Amino acid sequence: MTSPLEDILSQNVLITTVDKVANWARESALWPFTFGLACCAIEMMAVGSPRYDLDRFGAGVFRATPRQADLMIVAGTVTLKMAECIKRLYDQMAEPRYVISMGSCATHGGPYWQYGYHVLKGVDRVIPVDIYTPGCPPRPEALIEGILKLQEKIRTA
Amino acid sequence: MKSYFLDIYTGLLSIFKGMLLTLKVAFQRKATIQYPFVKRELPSRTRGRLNCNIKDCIGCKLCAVACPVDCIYITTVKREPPEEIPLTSPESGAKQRKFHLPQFDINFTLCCWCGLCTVVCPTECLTMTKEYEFSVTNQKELVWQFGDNQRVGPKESTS
Repeated sequence: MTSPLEDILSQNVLITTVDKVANWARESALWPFTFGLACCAIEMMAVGSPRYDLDRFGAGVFRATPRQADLMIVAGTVTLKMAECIKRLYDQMAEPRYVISMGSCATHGGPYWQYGYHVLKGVDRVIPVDIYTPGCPPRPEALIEGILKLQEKIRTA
Repeated sequence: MKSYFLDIYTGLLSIFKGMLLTLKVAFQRKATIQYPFVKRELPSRTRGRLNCNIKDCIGCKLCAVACPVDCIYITTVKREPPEEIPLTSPESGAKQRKFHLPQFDINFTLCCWCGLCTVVCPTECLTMTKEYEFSVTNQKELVWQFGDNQRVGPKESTS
C-alpha cells in the first residue's frame, strides 16, 4: 500500500534509490586484483588477452594493489602459507569487495582435498566467496561467465 | 642545433612507424570472440562437465574407483529375484542392470576434468559434455545428481 505522497515521490528523479546507481557503478567497473596462485592464473591472463577481452565488461583493469581493486579472483591452489597472505590482502581491499573462487583448488582443495597436507581445503574457509567457478582450470569463457554472474548478483543485491 | 632537428625527425618517424602498425592491425580480422553472444567452437574431444545417462549405468562403480579425487558417489541396491532385470540400450552392449541406483552424485567442486571415469565406463554411459558454464553462488549447488528417477542437475538448489 503506497500513499499518494509516496507515488509522487517515487517518480521524482532527485529522490531515487541510491543503491541502484551505486550497484550500477560497482558492476560496471569491477577492477580485479592481479593475483594468481597457480595454473588457473594462466587462464585468468588469457581472459585479459584480446581473444576474450575482459575490458568489454569493464573488468579488465588488473590492479597491482589491493587498495585499488574491487574483485579478487582466487585463481589456483591456496596453500596454507598463502592463505595468510590472502586473508591480509582481502582485508586491505576497500569495500565493497568481491571474491571469485576460480577452479576446483580454490573452491574445495581440488586434487589435494584428501591428502594435501599443505593446501587449504577451500578458500571460503578464510574469506567469504561470492561466486564459485568450477573447472580445472575453468575455460576463460567460464571465468567470464562467473564475472557476469557476479555482476548480476551485484545488480540484484 | 643539428641534434634538435634530428630529435624532431626521429620523434616523428617513430610516431609514424607506430601509427602504421596501428593502421595495419585496424584492418585485420578481429581477434576478440564476443563471448556471451558468440561461443568459440570447441574441439571434438573437449572435456567439460560430466554427464551420466543413468539408464545405461550398470552400477559397477568403476568410475568411482578410477576417480583420482573420489568425487563420484554411488549407492547401489540389488534387484531381488521377482523383479525383472532391465537391459541397457543396445548401443551400450545390452548389459543387465542388476542394481537400482538411488544415488549417483558427482561433486564438481572436486572434479578435475581428467576424464578417467569416462575411459573405464563399460557401457559408456558416463561422458564428458562440452558444457563448462555453471558458476554458482553457493558451493552446494555444484553437487549434481544423476541417480534413478532423479532430475539431472544440482542436488540442492538454493536459489
